[in-house]
Amino acid sequence: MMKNSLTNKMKKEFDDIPISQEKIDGAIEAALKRGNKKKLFSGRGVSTYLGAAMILLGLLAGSAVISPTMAEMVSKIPYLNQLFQSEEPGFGKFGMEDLTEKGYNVSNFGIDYRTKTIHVGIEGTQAYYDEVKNEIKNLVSEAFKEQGMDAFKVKISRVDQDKRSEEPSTDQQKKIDEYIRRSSELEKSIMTELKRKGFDIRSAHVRINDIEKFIPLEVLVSEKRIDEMKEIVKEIAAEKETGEFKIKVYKIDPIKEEAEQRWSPVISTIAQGLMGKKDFHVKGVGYSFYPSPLTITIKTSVKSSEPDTEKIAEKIEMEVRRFIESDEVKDKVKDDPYNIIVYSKDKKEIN
Amino acid sequence: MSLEKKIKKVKKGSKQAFQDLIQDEKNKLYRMAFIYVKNENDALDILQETIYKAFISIHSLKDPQYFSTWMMKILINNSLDFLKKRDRVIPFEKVEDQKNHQYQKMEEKMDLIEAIKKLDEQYKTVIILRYYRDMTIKQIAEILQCPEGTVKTNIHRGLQKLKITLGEECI
Repeated sequence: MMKNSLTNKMKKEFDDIPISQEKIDGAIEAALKRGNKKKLFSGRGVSTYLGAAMILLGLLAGSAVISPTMAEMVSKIPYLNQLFQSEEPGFGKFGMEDLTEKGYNVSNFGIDYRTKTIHVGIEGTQAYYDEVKNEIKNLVSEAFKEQGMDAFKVKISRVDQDKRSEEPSTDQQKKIDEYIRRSSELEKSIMTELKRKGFDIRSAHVRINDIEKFIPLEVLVSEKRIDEMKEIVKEIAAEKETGEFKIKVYKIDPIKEEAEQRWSPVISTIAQGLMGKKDFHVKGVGYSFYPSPLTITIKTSVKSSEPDTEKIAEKIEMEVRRFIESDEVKDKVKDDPYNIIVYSKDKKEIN
Repeated sequence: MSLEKKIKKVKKGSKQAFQDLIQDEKNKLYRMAFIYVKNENDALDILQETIYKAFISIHSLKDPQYFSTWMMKILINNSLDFLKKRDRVIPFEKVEDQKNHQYQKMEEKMDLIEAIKKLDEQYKTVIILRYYRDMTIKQIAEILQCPEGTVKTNIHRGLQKLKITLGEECI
């Protein structure tokens, strides 16, 4: 009896405590954002979880016969899905912010995929640099290893503030400004004229500088009067500028463009994940929507004559397909068809 | 989507799934925090800290069924931690304030929530969990990690104190 009346009374009064839904949702959003950044970086639970996944994948790779239960188990924790961040594509789940949050004076953070090297630039005195250099190096390489990426070297360097703040001399600056002014003027004339004549033109980002005189034209695929358009552009350029311009036409398909936007975080995750893990032997990842359907090309460093080439190609393709077919990614890329081609070092298709 | 599936998604890092999960809970969680700290800003801070901790440590949640109680446990711990820290520092003006407060207290018309806010932590928590969140003695004992007997005693004493403050007829 007593419980009921107290319960009712309490519930009523509790639910009368005023709230601001906006503030509550804001607090939640902030917490999740903070959590997302940290998640794969510092959670001990996560690392054991990932570790287990890696061991399983390793086992799988070693055994030719894959039992269905085993495959099912592994498919629950796909490597690429762990790296995927649909909102802010970056370097998996680790970046510069994770270092600055820890109080380090980091001025740049990037990955050179050609050499598979992570570059971290540190600001400050030589003494500070000597002090934190190894700490940061370990931190970064651990964080990437934790995410399953073991192929990257970490290189720490000191950013000399004096050098960095060195600005181009005023003469140079004047020259650059002048180039920019001329480029944008020509661009404007071209755009106005072409639009007036009813061409389906998207952009004309003119580049005038020491090295080149270049007019890239982005037009919709539906536009057929390409030669006519090039003539007009040539005339306008001759009127405004001296010298020969290189003119190049890029065709844009708005439908494909949209698809490209859907795919871009997915592809960058694939690229990073494949290149970041030694076992895949991947040197580069490319993609093209022209011609349809989307083709993802993966270049490896294995020779087609080597005995386990096929196995590696198969492993790569499986990993990528499993990622693309996962719920999370499917939501994003709809049902766009796609092809995967894996190349060997000697440029043969090996999948 | 089932609770289990959602939690699986959260484990993969999905913010959206987490937001879905706490959709029904978030206001209750905020209100509980508010009861402890008695002001909006601190309650929001505690809510944020709770969500953050839950999100990054969701892997330690073994059974999806316990998600709701698990969240509450984190919230309560955060609130108590916060109070411990805050109470170590009492600004000087407050000391004067508290003296005067003693006299005013009896005259104030007290409603239930005010009375609960004024309870000591050990009574406050069990009363909220029992009567606001409808939890069983057993569940409360699990959350607070103490024997069921202690929970019963604290509920009993808490109610006694409420009665004294509010007068018999209110409860």
